[in-house]
Amino acid sequence: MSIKEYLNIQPKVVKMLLNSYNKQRLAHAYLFEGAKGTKKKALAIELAKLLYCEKQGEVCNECINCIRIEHQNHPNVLVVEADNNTIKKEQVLYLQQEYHKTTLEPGPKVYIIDKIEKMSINAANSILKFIEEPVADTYTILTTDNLHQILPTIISRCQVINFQPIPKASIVNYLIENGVDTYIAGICSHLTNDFDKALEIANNDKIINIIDLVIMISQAILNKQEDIIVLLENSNVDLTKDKKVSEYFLDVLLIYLRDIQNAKNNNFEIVFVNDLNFIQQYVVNISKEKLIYNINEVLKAKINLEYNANLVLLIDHLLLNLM
Amino acid sequence: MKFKIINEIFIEAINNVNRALSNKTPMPILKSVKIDLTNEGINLTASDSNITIKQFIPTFINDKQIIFVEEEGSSAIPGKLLQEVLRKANDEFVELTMIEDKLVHINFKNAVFTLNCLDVKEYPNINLISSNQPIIVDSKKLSEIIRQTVISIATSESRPILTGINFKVQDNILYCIATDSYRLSEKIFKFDNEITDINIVVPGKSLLELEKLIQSKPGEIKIHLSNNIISFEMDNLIFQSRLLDGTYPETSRLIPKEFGLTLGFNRHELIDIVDRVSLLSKEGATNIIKFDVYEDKTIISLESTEIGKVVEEVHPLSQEGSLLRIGFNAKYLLDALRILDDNIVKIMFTGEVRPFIVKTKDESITQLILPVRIE
Amino acid sequence: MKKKVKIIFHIDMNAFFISCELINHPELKNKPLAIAGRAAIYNKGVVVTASYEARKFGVKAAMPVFMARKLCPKLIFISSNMDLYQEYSQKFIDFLLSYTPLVEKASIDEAYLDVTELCINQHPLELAKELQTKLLNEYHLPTSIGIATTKFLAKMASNMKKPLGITVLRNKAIKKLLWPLKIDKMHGIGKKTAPKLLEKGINTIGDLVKAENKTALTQILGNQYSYFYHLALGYGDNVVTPNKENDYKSIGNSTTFIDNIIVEEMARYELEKLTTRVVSRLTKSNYLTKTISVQIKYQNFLSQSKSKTLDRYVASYYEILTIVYDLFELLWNRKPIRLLGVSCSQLIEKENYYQQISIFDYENYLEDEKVIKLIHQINRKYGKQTIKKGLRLKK
Repeated sequence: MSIKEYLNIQPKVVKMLLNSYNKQRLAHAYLFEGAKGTKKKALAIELAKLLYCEKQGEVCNECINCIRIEHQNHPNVLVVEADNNTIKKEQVLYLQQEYHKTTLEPGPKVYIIDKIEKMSINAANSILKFIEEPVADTYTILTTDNLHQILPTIISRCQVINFQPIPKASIVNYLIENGVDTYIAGICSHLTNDFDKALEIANNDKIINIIDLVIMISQAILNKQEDIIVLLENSNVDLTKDKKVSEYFLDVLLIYLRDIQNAKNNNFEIVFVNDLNFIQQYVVNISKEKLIYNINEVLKAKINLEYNANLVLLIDHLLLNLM
Repeated sequence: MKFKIINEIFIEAINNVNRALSNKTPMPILKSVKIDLTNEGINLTASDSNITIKQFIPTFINDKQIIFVEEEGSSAIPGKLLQEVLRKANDEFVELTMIEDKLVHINFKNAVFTLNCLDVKEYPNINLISSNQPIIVDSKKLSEIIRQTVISIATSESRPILTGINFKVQDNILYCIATDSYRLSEKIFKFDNEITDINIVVPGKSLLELEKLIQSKPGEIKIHLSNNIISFEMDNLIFQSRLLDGTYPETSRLIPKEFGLTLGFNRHELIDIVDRVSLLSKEGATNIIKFDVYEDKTIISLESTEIGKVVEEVHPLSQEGSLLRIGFNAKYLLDALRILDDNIVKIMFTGEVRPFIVKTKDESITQLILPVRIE
Repeated sequence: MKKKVKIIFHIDMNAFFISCELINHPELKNKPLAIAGRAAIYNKGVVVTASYEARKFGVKAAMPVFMARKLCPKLIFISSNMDLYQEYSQKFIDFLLSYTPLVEKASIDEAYLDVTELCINQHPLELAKELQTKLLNEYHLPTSIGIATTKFLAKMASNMKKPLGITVLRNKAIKKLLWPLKIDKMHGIGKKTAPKLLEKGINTIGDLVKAENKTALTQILGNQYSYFYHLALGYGDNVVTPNKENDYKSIGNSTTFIDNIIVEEMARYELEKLTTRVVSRLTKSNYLTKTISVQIKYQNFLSQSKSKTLDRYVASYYEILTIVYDLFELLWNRKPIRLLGVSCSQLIEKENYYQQISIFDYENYLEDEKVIKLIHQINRKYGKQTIKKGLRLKK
């Protein structure tokens, strides 16, 4: 995607950046702020390309500079991102050292720090120093999913750019354009705000089986079948092997349970549209309390999954509690 | 790109340039060695972005053909892997063939290794030499310049500029200065040709790496200085480093010109004494020794309430000036004494809380140490 | 000159580890308890220590877990928690130090006190009673106290009545109280030596004193024979040497959490508390530190620590806290935390620390130079440390 294609997703941001660039009024430090998946990092990289593209004022994605920035091979453009959910002290140290050195090739220095909230307060304070005393021809772009977690001192020294949430419809369209089945596209668009993540999930070869399994289990819960463990054993997916599969399963299950919850509140705008009739028919079988309890159990399982709990125990425990 | 080369020569060159490779670089392409092949020979380049080493292997050395070029071209081959493969190669020649810019075949005897390669076009465009008026220095001298100053660079990153050595050219003199703010080393090198004044800071780590590289390479080295990079040009080999951005503290006023007390010592004896006296400090306490200078003797001591006390009496070879009692970090004196060359050293004091210097008859090197307050 | 008679206390904490556990788990009071390693769940390992209730069944330290279970099927096993014990041990010492600086920590659960001065105004028995009561009521730590004129006799005395005993062992009563004791009860006679002595007919401490075959004893005890001989007669070491903090070579505190910590802010808050404690101990004992360490223990008992050594000595709270945070960041793997610890090592007394002058600030010191010169001259003439700069004089 080139910067102009982002016009559909973040029109205001793209226009503003192009405008500032053309007027040579780019700020030395930006803070891109907005919900997960709103393309903050992607646009930060686009901005770096804009500064370096051989076609002035554009992002061609063909010249050697655009390609190198895309591949993180440009010596003057450094992208720092969380590794294992944190930005480590060493990464910040490296950034600081880079900041204090001359460039390898002529041109501006561009530092992109993705998800700056993953940086400790200490580390964030140390990068403050160089946002504070901007050096000519240096651009720092910070991004965050959560503006509230950012030190006020950082916010005050950056130009804050708000990224609007991406409408579900554009994710669904993007998925369909990439050959995903409409029904699955609808479900996947609810799993993430991120185009590429959504596509990755939709293209997972187990996703159809996962959705089927979720539907069977949820129906079993609603019409009070006893043996969901049996369903699990007869299914084509093994939830106890691959952490990713388990993760998708829990996410999809959560959507179905929310659908039931919506139906219970007489809101029939649901994701699993094919199940609308079934849900309407059986929703009386489950109490509001039990439903909230079930949703809670799934959320708990998600947390335990993150802490690498034993998958077999986790899934067994969850399914027993859901009944 | 396709060529055959005498492995022994190829691997030596790869070993040289690979010193620049690092696992820490975030740029995937920099894990590669760049090979540029023409009919004249091969240029090898490796870099971690901080330092870059480039070596040229000519097609012929003394009329002996080293390289057999079949097809000119460039490629970026994983550096560490290439090195490993070449090391294992049990043949006089190795042959490298690039397949569609994506794969390289390495052939020797009956073996074929195939390595995946990145697109060489993504390799940084590294400027290696940026001035045409170099300073010319003997390799041994350069090594001495580095060794005698690098002891004083700061090891903590709290003032990044102090982790480098200041290279300052003024009126045909090169001043190399390093300080961690508690001690300072200054080396002066005079040269003949005309060079524009310049003031830059070279990362200490880069110079240490350079020093290792030139240890075994006698001969002339051309130092090219510019505001962005510094390069050291040798026979067929170029070592380049990025610089530290920022202003180096002005230190010229710091080195005293007049002294209240000058003591002369045998350097080796003094090293032994200071080493012995600071022995007690190795338990992790401070390393502060005191010099108590009397008319007829100097008492060197270290005292620590936990561990005890050492006292050693010395009789300086020469003594001139007023008496004094001063304390300082023994490590700084030891470092300075150890990298000096002469048998006789002079310690020249100006006052109890002022910097003092350690010198030999070699006027080009000055080691300056700041004392501690002992009252 | 007549040697002054000293009054020495030996205070021994009864079933100390058990007491510590009971502070955290009062519901286990009066139940047979044993502390053992984690392996106890698999019926492996040995008992570290047992409560008095368990001892009634014959459960003893160093006994295999399965045997202890056999003797007392209702025995409750607790896995040992050294950090907790160390914490209370420190509290115990701190409490004693509030009475007198003459406290010598002998091990994690015992200490010697020289109370000669204190007993000018208070009867030793009364003082002992007061210490014991306070330790029990305020710290929930039951103790036995032995009172005598040497450290050895005090130690023997505290052993005579447990738990919660106070025993005075006067020199006059040695014959009656000490000598009849079995030789293996003599402090310092090890398990290997005792049987050899028994073989030679030395059954009691008294036998050792009265023994006629001195050469045989010298063969067994070496030149320690005369040492033990004198101890048994009431002569012996009566010098209580206060421990310097840096005899431990480090100052540290740690906290174990009942609810594991998973949130970074919470961990930081705890680290801040720990650092405050460590820094206050550091300053109280007039130390500076060079190496700072952080320790984390996880749910699964995996323990990791990381430390940083600075190029200079510090004692500033903020400086240390910054390093503690940095270390924590490097160390923490985001798993739930069971224990956090902060410690400082490479300590140096402030007295031994000298301000390093730097190229950026040496000019600030120049005005002192004349004074310093003068001090040096006077001291040189009239002897070391005749005068000092005002700031360094001790209050």
